[in-house]
Amino acid sequence: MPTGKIVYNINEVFSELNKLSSSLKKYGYEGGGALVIFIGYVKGVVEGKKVFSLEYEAYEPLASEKLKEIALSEASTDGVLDIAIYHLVGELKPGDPAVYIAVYAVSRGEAFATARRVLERIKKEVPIFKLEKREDGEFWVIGDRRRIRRELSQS
Amino acid sequence: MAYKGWEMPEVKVKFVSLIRDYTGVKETTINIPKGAKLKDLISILEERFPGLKKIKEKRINIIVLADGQTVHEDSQDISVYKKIVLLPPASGG
Repeated sequence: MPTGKIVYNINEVFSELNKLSSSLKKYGYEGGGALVIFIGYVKGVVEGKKVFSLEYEAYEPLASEKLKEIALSEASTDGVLDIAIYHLVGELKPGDPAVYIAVYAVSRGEAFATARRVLERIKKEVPIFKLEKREDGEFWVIGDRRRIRRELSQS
Repeated sequence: MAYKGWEMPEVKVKFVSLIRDYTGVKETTINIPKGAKLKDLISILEERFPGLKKIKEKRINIIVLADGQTVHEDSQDISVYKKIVLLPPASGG
């Protein structure tokens, strides 16, 4: 069953990942032969500057709804058997996982292509925002790469 | 131009992430003229929260949700909605 949701605790993701071995058996019997897992994690250096933390914020319940919608629509791709997406929010440190995407498919081609498409859709469509706290200040990340230095309003 | 109360529907506006920084508050309630378009709402908000002018200055393409639906047209009448949300572009992953 395709899953997509915001999670607040990494243990929730680990408990899902622990189910992977039994899922392989299940999907294997359904014709599956490939599982691609993508894990996006927090970088410790950006633009040559040391990153202390990355603060993720989700606009809920829309963010979870969008994640679920992406999982459901991409799981209907030919050759794809199932998809699970988990996106963490809160203050994460360099090396902390931030997003997990698991795609079960009949073969590697669909699995790799779908995992990549899911990630690109998450970046563009899901209302999740991040504030990068680093040695030269705090920066809002806008879209995929743009950074705007944080300045609190006087109004 | 003076408006009567019924001509100025009340709308709740929420600010998310970077935009919340620019206003200094998470949300506000304002009255907007009946038939107001998105640019009218933004002008009213900019008067109350001058920090919001940075959205234009920095050319940030904000996302506007009206009662949960994305507003695509500048010409859309947004005075019919109860809740507007202003969000910056997504940056998940």
